[in-house]
Amino acid sequence: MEPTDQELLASIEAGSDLAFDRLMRRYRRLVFRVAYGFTGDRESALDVVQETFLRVHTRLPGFRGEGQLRNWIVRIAANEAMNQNRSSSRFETTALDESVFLRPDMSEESDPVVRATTERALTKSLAALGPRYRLAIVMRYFGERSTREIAGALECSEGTARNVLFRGLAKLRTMMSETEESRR
Amino acid sequence: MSACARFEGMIERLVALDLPPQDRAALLAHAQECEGCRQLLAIHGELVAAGAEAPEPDEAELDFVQERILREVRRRRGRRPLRAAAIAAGLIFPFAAGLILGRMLPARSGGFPPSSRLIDALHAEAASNRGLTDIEDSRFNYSNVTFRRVPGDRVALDFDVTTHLASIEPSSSPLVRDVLAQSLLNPSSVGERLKAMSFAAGELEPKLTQAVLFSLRRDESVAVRLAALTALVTRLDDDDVRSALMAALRDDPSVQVRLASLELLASRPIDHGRIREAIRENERPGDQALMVRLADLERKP
Repeated sequence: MEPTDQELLASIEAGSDLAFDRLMRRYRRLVFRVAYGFTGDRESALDVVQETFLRVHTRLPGFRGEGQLRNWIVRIAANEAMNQNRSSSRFETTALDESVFLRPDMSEESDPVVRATTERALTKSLAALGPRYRLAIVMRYFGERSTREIAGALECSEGTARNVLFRGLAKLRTMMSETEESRR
Repeated sequence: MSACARFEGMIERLVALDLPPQDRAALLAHAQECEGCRQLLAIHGELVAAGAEAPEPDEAELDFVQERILREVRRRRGRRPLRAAAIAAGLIFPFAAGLILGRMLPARSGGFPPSSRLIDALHAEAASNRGLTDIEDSRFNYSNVTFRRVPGDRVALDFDVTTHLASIEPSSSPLVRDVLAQSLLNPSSVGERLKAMSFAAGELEPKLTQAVLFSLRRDESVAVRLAALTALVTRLDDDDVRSALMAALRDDPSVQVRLASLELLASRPIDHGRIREAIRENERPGDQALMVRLADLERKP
């Protein structure tokens, strides 16, 4: 019988590489798909898989076990993917704040540069969305996750997750319309 | 409730995968008349298509990444006890104190004398590190360390130091070439290796050419090996390059890489009998495609 996440965690904490190997095998495809949804590039997504699991291993002792391990890993993957798209500065990319996905989103309103440079292409508009909306959309469309799982990753109710998904779509529509108008 | 509010609720349910089939027709009919809802549905459709077109990861690639992660985890684990033991034994602070007092250590035998500016920076960093967390987060990383007591209450340190630097250099600078070469030779992400390869392509001198040839032979990523071939386009008259291309044609596990090698080899005057031999030597899937391509190339004037 397959060990549970909790059993794997206990073994990893005791120093078992085999348990960590199994944990990676369990979540690596999900991490890859989420990473691809953020980066849009296969090689970058593989890099994100690597960085995510290294980060997971480093931070496992601090994982409080509240909420599911899968949701925690998904947030780390999303954070790593966004870091990869940002500046290549070593110190910026090592910053980790997965709670960014749990806060109400204001980044696209507060970042005029992102807004001004948003192009019509859907992928570019997606890149300009705030992290919470972006994670929801990537999990839904690229990770093929249910609303329940998205709610778990965002640490909110299913109703809120549905609303985040819809508002994410609406924000994409607004951004794409604005870009279209500015081109005319 | 406005008509759109009702239909937006339906779109929300559609995105959440729980819109009843009987509501779909009503939603589509409304979207014919309403531009806003039509745009939302179009974005939903584009996202569904983008998700469906996303590549599946290759299991072998994921296995390789996983092996690399486990190696790194083991390497870090191996470093941790050493560092902790050194700190516990109270060795670090006496060293730091000694260094702060400005007592210069003799240069390592057989190596280069350490730059005084680098040593100064190490002193300053050590002096500013207050606790274990600061040491862990230090911008300098020490490895390959040995300690030896020497007369006069001093310690001879021998270590490697790595750090992060930012610098703007002329593109022809030897430093740029060395950094590029090391990026290709040392373990780094595929993205970093590809970036280094694209820079290297414009700066190929003998040292960098050797690094690119090394990548062509050894890099585990097909993308990097293909990038190496692209980088070598301007060096096809070099004998080392031609024999590396021949080896790639014969031995590379990827048909793509073999095909690209074939194209490059055939673009210069060469005995096609040798190419045929190289293709057939190991009898692998893809040989036939390569022979067909070779025949195509031979037919062209």
